[in-house]
This record gives sequence, structure tokens and C-alpha cells, in this order.
Amino acid sequence: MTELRIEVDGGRHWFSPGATLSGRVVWRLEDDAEAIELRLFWFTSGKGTEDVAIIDSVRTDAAGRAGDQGFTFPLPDGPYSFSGSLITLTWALELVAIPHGTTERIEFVMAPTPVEVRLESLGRAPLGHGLNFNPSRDKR
Amino acid sequence: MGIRFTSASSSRLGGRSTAGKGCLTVFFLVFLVMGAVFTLLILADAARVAEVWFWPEAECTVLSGSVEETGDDENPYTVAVVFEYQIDGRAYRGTNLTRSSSASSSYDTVRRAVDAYPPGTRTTCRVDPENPGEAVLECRLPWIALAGFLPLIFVAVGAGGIYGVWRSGGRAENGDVESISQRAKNGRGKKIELGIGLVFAAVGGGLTILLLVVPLVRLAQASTWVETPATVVGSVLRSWSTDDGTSYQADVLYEYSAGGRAWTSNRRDFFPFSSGDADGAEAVLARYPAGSMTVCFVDPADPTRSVLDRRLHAAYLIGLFPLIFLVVGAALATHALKRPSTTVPAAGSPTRPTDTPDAPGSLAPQVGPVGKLIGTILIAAFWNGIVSVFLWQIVLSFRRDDPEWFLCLFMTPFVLVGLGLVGGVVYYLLALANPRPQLTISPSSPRLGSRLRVEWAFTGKADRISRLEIVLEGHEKATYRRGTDTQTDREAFASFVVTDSPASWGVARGAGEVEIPADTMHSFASDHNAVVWAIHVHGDIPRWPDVNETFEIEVRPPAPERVPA
Repeated sequence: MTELRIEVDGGRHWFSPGATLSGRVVWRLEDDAEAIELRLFWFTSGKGTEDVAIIDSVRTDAAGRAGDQGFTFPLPDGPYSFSGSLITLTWALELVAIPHGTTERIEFVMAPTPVEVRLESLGRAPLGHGLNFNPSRDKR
Repeated sequence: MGIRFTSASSSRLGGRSTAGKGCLTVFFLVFLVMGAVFTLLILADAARVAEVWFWPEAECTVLSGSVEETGDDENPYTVAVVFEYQIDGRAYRGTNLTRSSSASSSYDTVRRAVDAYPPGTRTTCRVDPENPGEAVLECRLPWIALAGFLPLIFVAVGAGGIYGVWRSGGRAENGDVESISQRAKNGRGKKIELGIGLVFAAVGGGLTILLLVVPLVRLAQASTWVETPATVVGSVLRSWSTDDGTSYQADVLYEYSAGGRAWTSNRRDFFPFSSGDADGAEAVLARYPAGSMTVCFVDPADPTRSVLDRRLHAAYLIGLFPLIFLVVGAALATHALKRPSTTVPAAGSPTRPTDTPDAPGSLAPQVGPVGKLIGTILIAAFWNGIVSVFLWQIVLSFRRDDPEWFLCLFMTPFVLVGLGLVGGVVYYLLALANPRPQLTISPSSPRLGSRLRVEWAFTGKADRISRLEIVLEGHEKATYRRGTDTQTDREAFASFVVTDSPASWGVARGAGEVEIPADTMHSFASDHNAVVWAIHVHGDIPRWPDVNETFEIEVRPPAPERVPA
């Protein structure tokens, strides 16, 4: 029976930008794996064509049929996990057995708060005010 | 939305079905096979021409040479040459100048080939070692092999498509999780865009040289050629079938004297195309009836070169069309080179990186008024250029008293769009006289949760503006394919008014501040998706095009120390 597992330290599912993401991967395969690769990446979904960017990866060569390996990734400052009317950006870790391509993935939030940034909730409230020749005015 | 921590085995499952893969494979196989067949045919023809280079040489004597008519209207003239050679003591006669056809629509080209081998000339020919009865006077380079690149595109599309359908990397089968990270492009899209841009630019540049530069240079050279009396000895309407219908050519053969001998030519002008219009060709024949006297223009340095009409007429403007390909190709290549890679984006994927993001900075509009005008002119010229081809057919049908009413009806919306584009050109032309805003913001790349100060000053007559509105807006931008079109949707998620001032407040210069919330999204850009922050300046000008400028800015994430641990 094939098993790929990604265990994040503390079972965390939210990380602030710049934080460290660490944990352990476990694999049990029916055939020997040439390598096991853990990828830290983000991807977009929604109306636009999907974009995918791998930020970091850890590769274990000659991985065999079973094993486990710890990992540590420093997270960048951005982009944040966000969701809008057109675009959703999701951060994820993906464990891939090479060459069979067997895959396991977990998704997490990377943002200043434990929820992804919601763009549609911001509305169009004006916060501006004028200076000098233009006294402060709130319209709309 | 709540917290997500999911094993994604239930989402994004499966690839294409086997049936779907089969259909796509057949589709791409047709491309592959057709491309391969045409490539092989072209290469076989090229090999036939190139083979002559390996034939042994033999001494020969030219017995006769002349220009003859082929009976084919597309290439009505050919070389008729007879030469004699001996192989193993036996005499043979050859009649081929080259192994490929020497027929041409240009009398001059054929005549020059004939003049190179006057009767009595002793030279060498190439003899087929397996058939001594076949010999040629000249070896030619197999240029036709270059045409093989065209069907090779179909081969590449077919092979690439089949590879794309069946490649297994990261594709899920049997309900397993499909790898998303496998689809990271590693900058491939950028390279493809750069490649397409360079191909467009190269093709556009080549065609511009061929169809515009060369004819115009020849026209300029011919302006110093000597006017010489000529007699029209032939005036024939040539016509032949093409993929697009029938092509027509007015073939006017004329004789003139220069350099102490008589010459014959059929070069009417330097326009590189035949006409699809029989009436136009007939009109030319009417101007040059057989037996009539006229004048031609002869190069005093080379009396073999002459032309009947050395005027610059509107038809030469068709050579401007390839310029569009050149501009589009150059724009694509430039865009690809400037585009950020998405493989490992910098923190926050800045859209407008600056060296000193915390210092004040002045902004340049995304597209200036001159850029808008040039862009509109190019689009209007392209659209109306194509529409004008059909309009001309309609005009001709009215001239023939046989109006094409269906074509009239069909073309009406296209003509209206064309007129709208012309109106757009006028609009942006008038807008050039508008006052222009200059913006300075502090900091030049604000952070989420910080205040942004915007200072503006207008050059030109700012008192014409009756109301000024400056707004900081954040919007999503998503680009996607629909059929063969690429579309971009924008959706604003935040809008903050910097100023909304009537003219009585004075708008020529001023400043305002806005606070960018901490709980929104910073600037972000990838290949097809972006979060864009921009300052829009809108100035109402009564009875005149308004001031409308957009200045993109970069909004950064908060400084690391402000982010909760």
C-alpha cells in the first residue's frame, strides 16, 4: 500500500510571512523511488490561467521504498494567501515520488492573520482627505 | 472563509480521459502527418536541384538561345537554349539551363539568362552520370528547401501536441492526487513569448524590406534614369488561379534602343504584386495598346534595366502592412524581456521595483497621451486597412453598375467600427493639448497599513479643468484564454479618494493623503494574474476630451517587524 504523508510541526495550518515552516515527511511505496521531493510553492486558481511558482524544494535521492525526512523552509514576505472575485492564491507543500509521480499535498495559509486576505470584503469606502488647497472631504 | 489545512486528494483529480486523449492524438496526428508529407515533398524537390552539384562536368558548346513563351500566364517566359557535349565519344544535345524551371513572369530575368550564353560560347555543363542524355548548364542552390520550414511548424505543433497529451509527469491517474507544482513553468512562457516576438519581428522586418524598402529604393534610383522612346510590341492580360481566386497581370512587352542595340522588357513598375482586379489590369492594357509608341526610363549605367512607370502610386503603400508585424513582434519581445519570472518571485512580487522605496518618488503614466495616440493610430490603420480591401470591391461593383448589396450590408458594422477608431484618433489628437499631471508620492512604494501622500502639479492650462478627481485603486487582473482569444478581466477591490475637487478650489497643484489598510493585499504580479495598485487622475474638461491618466504604484507588505509572529 502506498503512503505519502506530510507532517507539519505543531499541526499548524497558518504561517505569518517570513516565519519558518518545518516538519517531517514519511513515505511507504510499493516500488523503489529514485527520489522523493518536497516542494514549497504557491498557485493561483480562478478566472485567470493558472500560475504556479515553486519557492523552495528538498530532494532526497535514492529514497527506496520507505523512509522519513525532516524539513525546514523559511517563508518569504509574500505573496499572501488571498481570495478575490477573480483570483485565489494558495500556498501548499507537495510531496512527489519520482519517477512514479505519486503525490501528496497539503495547503496552508500564509498571511498576517490566520485567514487568507479577502479582497471582495474591502468595499469602496473612501478614506482620503485633501491637504493644502483641498480641504479634507469624504465622498462616496 | 475559515482556516484550510487540507490533504488535497479530493480536489483537482484526474487528467484527460483515455477517449479524450485519443481524440486529441488523432487531431495532432493529422498536423504531424500533413506537415511531414509536405516537408518531404519540398525536401525531395530541393534534393533534386542539389544533386546536380555532384554530377561530373563536361565541355559543351552553346548552339542557340532565345526567350520563349511557355503558355503559362503565371510564368509566361522561359529560356530556350541548345548546347552540344560529348560523353565517351558520343555527341549529345542538351536543352536545360537548370534542373529546376527557368520560367519567370519577368522578361528581363529570362533575357539576362539567355544573354549569358550567346551562340558559339564554349563552357561546361553538368551531365547525369546515370543518364548522359540529361545535362544542365547551371547548378542552382536549393533555396526551395527554406520553404520546408513552413510545414515543419505543423510537424512541431503535431509532435508537441501529442507529447503534451501523453506526457505522464505529475498527471494523476486512478483517483490519485495530481501534482500542481509539476506545472510550474520555470520561465518557459517568457521564452515562448520572446521566440514568437522575434519570429514576428523577423518576418515583418524581412517583408518590409522586400515589399517597401526595395521598391522605394528602386523608385528613387529610377528618378535619374533617362527618358527613352519605346514601342509596345505586346499587350496581354495574364490570369491564373490562386488559393484566393484569380490573379490578373497586365503584361506589356516593349522595345527600346540604348547603348547601341535594341532591348525588350516587360517591367512596368516596381510594385511587387500582381493584381486581383481584372479592371485595373485592363486599364493598364488600354494605356499601352500593342503597336503604340510610348516612353520608358532607362538606366544610363546599365541599359538592360528599364521601367515604363516610375511614379509613386498608392498601391506601394501595401508595403506598410508588414510594419505592423514588425511593431507587434518587437513589442512582444520587449514585453517578454521586461516580464518578471514567476519561478522564484521576489518577496511580494513587486510590479514596480524601486531602489529607494521609502523615499518620495515621481511617477510616470502607464501610457502617456502620445502612446495612446500612436496605439489608436496603429489599431485604426490595421482595422481600416483590412476593411478598405473589401470597401474597394464594393466601390468597383458600383462602378460596374452591379452593386454587391450583401457585401455592403455585411461590411456596415465593420465600417462603423473603423469610423469609431478614426474618431478615437481625433479624440486622442485633441487630448494632446490637455494639461498633463505630474505626480509625486511619498513613500514611492508604500506599505500596507501606512499612509500615502500624493502631490500633483499640472503643466499646461490647468484652469480648463472643471473638476479633478484623484483616486487610489486596487484591482485584480486575470488573463485567460477563451478559444483563440486572450482576454484580461479587471475587478476593483478597493478605492480611496485622494481628492475630488471642483475648479473653484484650484486644481493646478495640491496634495492629499490616504491610508492603505493593513488587512488588504499588496502588489503582486505573475504571468497571468496580478493585484495592481494604481492612482487614477481624472480631470473634467467641458466640451473637450477629459484628462485621464493612470499611474501604477507598488504597495509592499508591512515591514517584517510589524507582522505578527
